[in-house]
Amino acid sequence: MLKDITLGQYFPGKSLLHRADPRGKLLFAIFYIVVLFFAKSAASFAFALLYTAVLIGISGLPGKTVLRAVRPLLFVILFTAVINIFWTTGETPLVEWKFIHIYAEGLIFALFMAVRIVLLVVGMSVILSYTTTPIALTDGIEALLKPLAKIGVPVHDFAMMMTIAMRFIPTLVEETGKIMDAQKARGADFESGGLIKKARALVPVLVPLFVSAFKRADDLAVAMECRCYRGGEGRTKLKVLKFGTPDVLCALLAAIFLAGILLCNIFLPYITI
Amino acid sequence: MTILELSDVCYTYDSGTPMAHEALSHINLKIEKGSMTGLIGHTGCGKSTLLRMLNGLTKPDSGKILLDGHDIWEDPKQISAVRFRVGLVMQYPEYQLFDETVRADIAYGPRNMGLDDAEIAARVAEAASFAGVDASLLDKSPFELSGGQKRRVAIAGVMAMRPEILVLDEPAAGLDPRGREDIFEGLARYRAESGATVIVVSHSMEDMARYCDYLAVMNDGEIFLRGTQREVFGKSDALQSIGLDVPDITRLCALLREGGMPLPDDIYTVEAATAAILPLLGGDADA
Repeated sequence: MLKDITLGQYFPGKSLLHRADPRGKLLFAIFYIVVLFFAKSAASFAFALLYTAVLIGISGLPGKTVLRAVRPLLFVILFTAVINIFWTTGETPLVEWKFIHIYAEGLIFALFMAVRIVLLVVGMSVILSYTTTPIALTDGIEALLKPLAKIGVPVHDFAMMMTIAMRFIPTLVEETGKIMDAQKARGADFESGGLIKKARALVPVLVPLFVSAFKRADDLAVAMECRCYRGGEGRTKLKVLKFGTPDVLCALLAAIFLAGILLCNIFLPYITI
Repeated sequence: MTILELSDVCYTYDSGTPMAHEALSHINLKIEKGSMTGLIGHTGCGKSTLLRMLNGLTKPDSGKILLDGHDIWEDPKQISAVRFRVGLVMQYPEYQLFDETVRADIAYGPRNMGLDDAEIAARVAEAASFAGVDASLLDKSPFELSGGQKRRVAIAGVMAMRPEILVLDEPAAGLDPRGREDIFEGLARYRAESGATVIVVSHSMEDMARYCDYLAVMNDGEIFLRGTQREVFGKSDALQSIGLDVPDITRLCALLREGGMPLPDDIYTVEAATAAILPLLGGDADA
């Protein structure tokens, strides 16, 4: 289960999406999500599917890896689909039995919603998490939020906190495994029993994990101070972000997405929600 | 009598991916009941992976681990019973401490075994004494202790399960010479008084020479040499070919022998060297 966390799972590569500026990609990702919600007809959803497939192709990521991002959300997707099937009312009843009413509209709506969630996750993974290093990502977020610093929001500190958090996710995952093994060697049982028993079995894992995380934080703070870290004021970057050709191409890609979805909505308005 | 046997054990990390890495390759090893076996080898040679196999934390890809002649994976549901019989102390085990008091932490293992309070209290006291945890520390929080004390508490936490086979991964790593000696003396005492079998990984040839009856040398996921001290340390050329060596004192004695001193070639500890050299110089070996 620990292996399913896609956060911070950068997948090295040299594709267009890998080379694009993180600021541009963040905007692209937000744009992608917004446009995805414009999709209304079957044709526009089909276009979104095709478009996302093309994005995967451009990124050069193995399809299996990309789909893995969806796995942790499978339950959520199924749950929303089932809710939508049973609770959406429409004009074309398919099943009417006692309190169960299923309408064709409900089925279509459920399908579209499921497609939308899958595309959201896949799109975000392809545009951001798989193709952007965590450091570049936080750099991008910091740059985009910079204007907020004018009204007193400590943007740099937030970005630093995020960078550190991302940096330590793999470390903590590894450490959790180590501690669990050590307690298993002392007869700990994490698998059997009810919810309360399982939760209680985790105490011997969580306590050492927190202790070492605090110690690590302390050590890191000292190490940063030893290197004269004193916050964001006047700090320069090792890697200065620059917009270039890949970003122009990404902007073009984004424009194609918006145009495609809108055109499909207007000219192929069959089976709409 | 053999108590633990590894038969043709293989293990590959991340098998089936481009990152696949063979950690253990056709390992065959027999451990004598009541013996103390030292496992030597470079970092990354597969020692830790091998130890994790012994109590079923890792399942071999192929091959069998026989405890008293029974495959430990015969019934995967019973694997925790195996873990009580084969106690594993991991590398830098201090991080496993979690409970409010040292006493409660040492009692964690026995409590998981489902023992009653009186038995647990007896085992905690016994294990604390073997591992060299002072009785005055038992009611302190484990997080107040020094590094060396934490290490001993962690070892006591495994000893308290009274495992028939005690497995330790570099129990003395990072400790000062005094701390090392305390830990190894405690192990020797645990073994002598409980009749347990001990398997220990260490990088110190001196510790190995002093405490172990049998040695096994690993290299690149394979057993490179094994046997008694004499059988292993006698092959200093082979050891040197993989970047290891015999104890310093053995090298010194070899040099003295070359210089004409009639010393035997099986001296592995400073004590043995003292006993052999002093009479030659006209001194009293007992002095």
